[in-house]
Order: sequence, then C-alpha cells, then structure tokens
Amino acid sequence: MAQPDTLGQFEQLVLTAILTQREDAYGVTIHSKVRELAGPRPVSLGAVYVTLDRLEDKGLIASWLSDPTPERGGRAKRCYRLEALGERALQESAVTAKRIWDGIVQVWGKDWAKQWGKQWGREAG
Amino acid sequence: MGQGSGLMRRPPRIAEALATLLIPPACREEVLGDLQERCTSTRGYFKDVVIAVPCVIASRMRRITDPPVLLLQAMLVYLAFLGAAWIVNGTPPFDRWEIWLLAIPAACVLAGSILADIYAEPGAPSPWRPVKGPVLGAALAFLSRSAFPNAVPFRIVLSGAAFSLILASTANLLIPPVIGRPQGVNGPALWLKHSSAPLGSLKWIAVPAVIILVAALSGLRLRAVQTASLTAAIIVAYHMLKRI
Repeated sequence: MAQPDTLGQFEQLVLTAILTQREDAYGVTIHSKVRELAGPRPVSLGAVYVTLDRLEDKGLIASWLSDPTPERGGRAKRCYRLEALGERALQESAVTAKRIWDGIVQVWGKDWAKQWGKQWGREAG
Repeated sequence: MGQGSGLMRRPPRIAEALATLLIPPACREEVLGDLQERCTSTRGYFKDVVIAVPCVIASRMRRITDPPVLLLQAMLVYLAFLGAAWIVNGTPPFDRWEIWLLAIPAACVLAGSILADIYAEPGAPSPWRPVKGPVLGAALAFLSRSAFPNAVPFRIVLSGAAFSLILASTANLLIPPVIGRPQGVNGPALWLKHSSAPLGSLKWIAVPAVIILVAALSGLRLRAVQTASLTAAIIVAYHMLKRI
C-alpha cells in the first residue's frame, strides 16, 4: 500500500474540515471550518482552493460536481470526501500531534496542560 | 444548503464578468458559485475575487504543467529563435547579450503555450489544441517587440516564431499536455500525474543535449563562464519548475 506524504499544518486543517463537514464539504463550508480551526489567523479562500487541488493530486481526497443550486446562481458545487489514503494521513498526523502534546506535558508539567485545557474549553464555549 | 445563503445578495455584474473571464474553465462553475454564495456586499465580492482568482489560476497552472515537458518545450522554442538568428544573420549568435535577448521572445511563446493550456476547455477536445498555444505565444512574442523594440530584430522574431510554431506544435502532438490525456470521470487526479512519470527521464537527455548544442553553436569555442552559467541556469530552472 502506498505511503501517504507528510502533511503540512494547513493540509491537516483542510482534511479535518472535510472530515467534519461530511457530505456538505465544498469550497465555502470547508473555508468556513478551516477559519474556525485556524483560530485567530486569517485564512483566504484562495489558499483553501490551492490546498484542495494539491490534496486531490496526492490522492488524499476525491471530488465530484453536485447538482446546480439556485442560491449559487444555478451553479454546481464541487464536493470533497476523504480517500482511504487521506484518512490514514490524518490519523498519522493526529497520533504525531498527541505525541508532541505528551512530550511537552512531560517537560512543562500537568499544571500547564490544565491551564491550556481550561483556555481551550473557554474558546470552545 | 449554503452557509452564506441568509446574507446573500446578487454579485456586481462587472466583478462577476471579470471573474468569469479570469477563472479557468475547468474550475469556473464551482468557484463562481462559491463566490456568489459568499457574496454579502459589492466590496466583499471584489475582495474575494482579487484574493481567490490568482490562487485558482496558479493552482490550475501547477496541475496542468508537467515540468520535464515544459523544460523540453522551453529548449525547443529557444533553439528555434537561436536558429532563426543564425539564419537571418548568416553567422551563429556569438554575442553574449544577443544570446540572452533571444530568451525574451522565447519566453513569450512559452507563456502563450501555458496560458492556452490553463484556459483550455477540459471537456471539448479540439484538433487545433496543439497549435493554439504556440500561435498565442507567437502573438505575444510580436507584442513583446512593442515593450522591447530594440531587443531582437523583427526578422528574427518572425522566423523564430515560425520555427517555434512548428517545433512546439510537434512537441504538443507527440506529448499531449496533461489536460489532453484521457481522464477518469470521478477518479482521483493522482494517476494523471503518474501517466506522465516516464517523461521524468527526459531531464537526463535534455540537460546534456543543451550543453552539447551550445557547444556546437559556439563553434567549439567554449567560453567556460558562459557555458557554466547557462548550464547552472537550466538546472536551477528545472528544479524550480519541479517545485511549482
């Protein structure tokens, strides 16, 4: 089986956005979710398009055109879904992120982890 | 249901027409739809167009460009202008500046080929496709004379454009651009690049071929610095193209 490429941080965000949007993953919804995930950093729609194309070329996601809808002036949406290779790449990224987290907690202590946990909780509402 | 449907308003006609003109046909439908769905104000729509459209064009260019094939085309087009200069002047172009100035019309022809590929209709195969790019490129080469009137004489541009039209069209016929190759309906785009993988070996032929040709054109009177700089430029250009 082919090994997935290492993902960049923005690619991880886009893949996560596609995963969470499920059947409704297309340009506008993916951009909106990536903005939410990226936190205070601004994210342009153009950057999302470029990353979607790159991920599709790598075989991590697949796309298809949906039926035209009136709210888009009768134009179709390009919907995206994760491929098996994309799911594996995202899983590996999540495991790596967890390892990084554990490594940091080991050095900076559990108090630091609790403080961050509280802050994340506040941000998530 | 779209996220921005509650705030939606009709996009300004001028901006929509501009976006329609600039967005490559292969992704026009979905990008225009997304822009319309996000449209909340005229200013916001213009901002989205200005930010998203250049990225869409650059991404399309990256997807349809095959770096080894592009390098091969660049060499063919440059050699066409080099040969034209030789024929028109009666002697090979020994002058250092003349050799570099020939790159201006050659770059224009190459830019025309790339533009034609970017804006080609993906679902409409045309027998004229291999010629369209070089013709547009030749037109750009003539236009470049208005920007650099004294760079390359008109007769060299004319002959070079004719030679490059023949060479680049033949190359397009023999090695169709990614857009012209057969595609699966909803398959991942990964294999499109795989279909061109054997062409990667061209770099091993192309780079020495250029060095030999430059040596031959210089009448075997190689100037070490000139040859080394040209070789370095070709290698750097190839690696830059590989990263696009």
